[in-house]
Amino acid sequence: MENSGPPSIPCTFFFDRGSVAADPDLDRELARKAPGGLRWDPRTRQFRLPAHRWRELKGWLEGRGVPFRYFSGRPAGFRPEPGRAPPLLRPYQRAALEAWAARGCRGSIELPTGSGKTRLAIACLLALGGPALIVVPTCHLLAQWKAALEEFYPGPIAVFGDGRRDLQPVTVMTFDSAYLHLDRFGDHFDLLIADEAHHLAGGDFQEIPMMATAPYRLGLSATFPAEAEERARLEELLGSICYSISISRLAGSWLAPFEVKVLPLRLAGNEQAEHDRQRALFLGFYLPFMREYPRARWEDFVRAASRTVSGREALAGLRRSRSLLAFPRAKLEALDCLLEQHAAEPTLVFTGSNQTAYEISRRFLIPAITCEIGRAERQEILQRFEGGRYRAVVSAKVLNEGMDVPSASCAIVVGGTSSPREHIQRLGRILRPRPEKRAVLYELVILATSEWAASEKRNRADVFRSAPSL
Amino acid sequence: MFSGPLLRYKLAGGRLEPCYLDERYAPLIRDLLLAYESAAGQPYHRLEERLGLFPAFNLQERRLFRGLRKVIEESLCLQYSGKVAPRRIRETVFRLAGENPGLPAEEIFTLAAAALGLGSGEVCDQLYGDLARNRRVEIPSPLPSPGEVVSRYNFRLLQGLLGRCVRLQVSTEGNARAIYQLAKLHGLLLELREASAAPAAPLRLEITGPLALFRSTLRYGRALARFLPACCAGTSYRIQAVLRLKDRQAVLEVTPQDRLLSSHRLPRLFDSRVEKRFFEDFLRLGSPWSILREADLLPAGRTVFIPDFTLRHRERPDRPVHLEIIGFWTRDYLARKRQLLRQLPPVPLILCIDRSLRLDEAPAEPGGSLLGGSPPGDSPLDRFPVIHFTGRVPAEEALKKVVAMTNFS
Repeated sequence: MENSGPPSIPCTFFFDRGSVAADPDLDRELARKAPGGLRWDPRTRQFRLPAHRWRELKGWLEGRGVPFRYFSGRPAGFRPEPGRAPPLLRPYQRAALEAWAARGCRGSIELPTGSGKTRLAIACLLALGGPALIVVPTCHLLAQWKAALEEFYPGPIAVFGDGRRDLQPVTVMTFDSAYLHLDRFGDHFDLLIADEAHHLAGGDFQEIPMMATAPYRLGLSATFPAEAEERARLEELLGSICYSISISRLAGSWLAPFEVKVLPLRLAGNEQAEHDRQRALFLGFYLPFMREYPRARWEDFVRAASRTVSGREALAGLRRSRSLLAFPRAKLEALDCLLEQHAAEPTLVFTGSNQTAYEISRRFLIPAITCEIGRAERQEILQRFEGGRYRAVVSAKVLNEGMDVPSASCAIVVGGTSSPREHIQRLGRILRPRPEKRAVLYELVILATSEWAASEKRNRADVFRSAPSL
Repeated sequence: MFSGPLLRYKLAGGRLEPCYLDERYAPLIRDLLLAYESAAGQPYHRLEERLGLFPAFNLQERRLFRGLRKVIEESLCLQYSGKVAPRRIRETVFRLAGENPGLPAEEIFTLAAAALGLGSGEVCDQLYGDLARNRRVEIPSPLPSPGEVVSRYNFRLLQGLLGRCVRLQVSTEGNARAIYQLAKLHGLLLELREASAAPAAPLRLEITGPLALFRSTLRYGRALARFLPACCAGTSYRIQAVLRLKDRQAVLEVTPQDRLLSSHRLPRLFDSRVEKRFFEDFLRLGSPWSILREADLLPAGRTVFIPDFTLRHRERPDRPVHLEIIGFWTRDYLARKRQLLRQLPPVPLILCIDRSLRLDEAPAEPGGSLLGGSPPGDSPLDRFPVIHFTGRVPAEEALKKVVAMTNFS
């Protein structure tokens, strides 16, 4: 119970499956004036609001002197133990923490990969001292967060997800588990920390912060969305971005200095001819379609194309032209050359698909980390990579986000999407500072193909425009 | 349950029509099953190559094909049959490659083969032998018949569509308790809707979750999809689901005409011998009143009351009479029942009370007897007609009471 009063007080609220419900006899006039999205629920004949807006309503009630009671399902004594000494923060981390505290401990912080987001979040958690829930996108991050917390917090740290269902005043939970179960525990925590918070800007996962009453919130990401709508959504759920610092500002001091080198390559004569033939098949259908329906989306095109013989040939042509670009001879030779050139440096190779990752793994005898490789094996590979027993690791997507590979200093992008976010995340993998370290990211791009345009698109982000490049 | 990319449906005027399969697809399914059978013992990627030869001309056909594959592959096992686990092979190969930089791959494979007791070709072949596409196909038990594949496909298609459900409305007869219990289990809200004016209108329930008030959320879709077996288990039902598909909504309707198989077993018909006997005795009377077990939910304050029996006259099914038997009991049970009955609005309900309980006289709690309470008028015994019985509920007396209450003989 948060605010106890005499039993005759009519204004009572309680946590109810991801929402906060009012007692059925709540004064309707009061409900009409109240902020926080309080709505009449005809199903249960009471007013109800999404849990994340309880703080706003509570503040309003307190501000107007309206007496109320709040019944929480939080078990008695559900409080974390006192933490050890908080982590020492770097100047920009301290500035971020102060900015967050100045906004009432509610907001998001944008820091590049490798600049110590976890450490900063632990400092926030220890400073507040209340029960805290950390939500993370992957099972790998569950273990990573638990290990980081253990350094500063002596109490039990619960892991919820990946087959485990433990709940403690300090709990790390996967997005998937939080989406399915937070409606039962959403009122247990004072602080909600969302790692890789950009995933909560849209789709189903945006309901995770909605189901929690936590008045204090911290969103962490290296790449918050640029779209106004998604930013506004995150602002409502986690608070606005209160601190942001770019890779370029930290490179050379708190992050390793780096170079980005785009290596333009050419297909072999026969490969180019075949690529152009397949591409022409695609464009022969695609361009007239887009001229006729300039507002059509990609799925509209696919739907229309699959209805005719020439459309299906166009789609097949697109698939074949893409597969020719995945790992042609020129990329193979360039990769061979680069791996030899950087034989002494821990190297990450990024591909566009798992198939290409396995092909590279077989040819160069470097381990592949994909979603098909078991977690224990992935962990073992990363440990050996960190220990210097493997000189390189190849991956399609798994290494893009969240995995900690501090020793890596060279990245070779063989393939991927045109997304600047993916590109920034991949660059971030090699930026953890080390004395004398100079990171380098190579991008293998086939000239005179769609890859060139994709590369230009992903390099449009500020960090790449300002980076030294070849 | 099918995921989004496998769902096949047509949309017309806000209504969704699932693309169910029927016997016309049997030849295609038979060919597919033959392809699977002949792939037994081969690597899965060979099977994939063979399946790639099946014509799938457009998006819908590719979806159909993938759905059928999913259904059939539920009966397959993919096995790795090598002598050494691929993880160990990889660990050896990559370790040797790290220790011997500059050594050609063939030589590393030879070194690894010697260390593992394998041929060097085997090391190369089995390096990723545990990936699904490299495993061998095993068929442990006979594959389903084309008819079974059709049934399973249709059921999974419908479950997949209901997984996109934001609101579910069920009209059902005789299965109310199972649905009610499932809703409670999944933390969903169950709302009783006004029955339609049509005669014999069945019970209408609307099932959603608390957050559906704020957002057309899919978070209850999976739980709502689990209702499907319970809803389809009865003989008479109608499901109306509001689905969210990308950026639009559509309504899906399911009735027994859709011929869906349900794996759900109806709950045990009778809780006690007394109920069973009464049911049989009532049927034996041959009256124009039909008798249904736990077929209705009555709103009782913020909860519901499920009477043991609902009686409906052949010509006036819109005016049911409910009957509740209070036989075996505990003190807590009676206290809860009293609370529930107190909250019931005036409804035609008959209470049949075991005489041995002596409820109206039983000294029990401070403040009154168990069902008969004080102050006067507050007791359910004052609000609803009562039949006392010993051992067997008198069906004839019950019928007389029903007739007296409704004037329908």
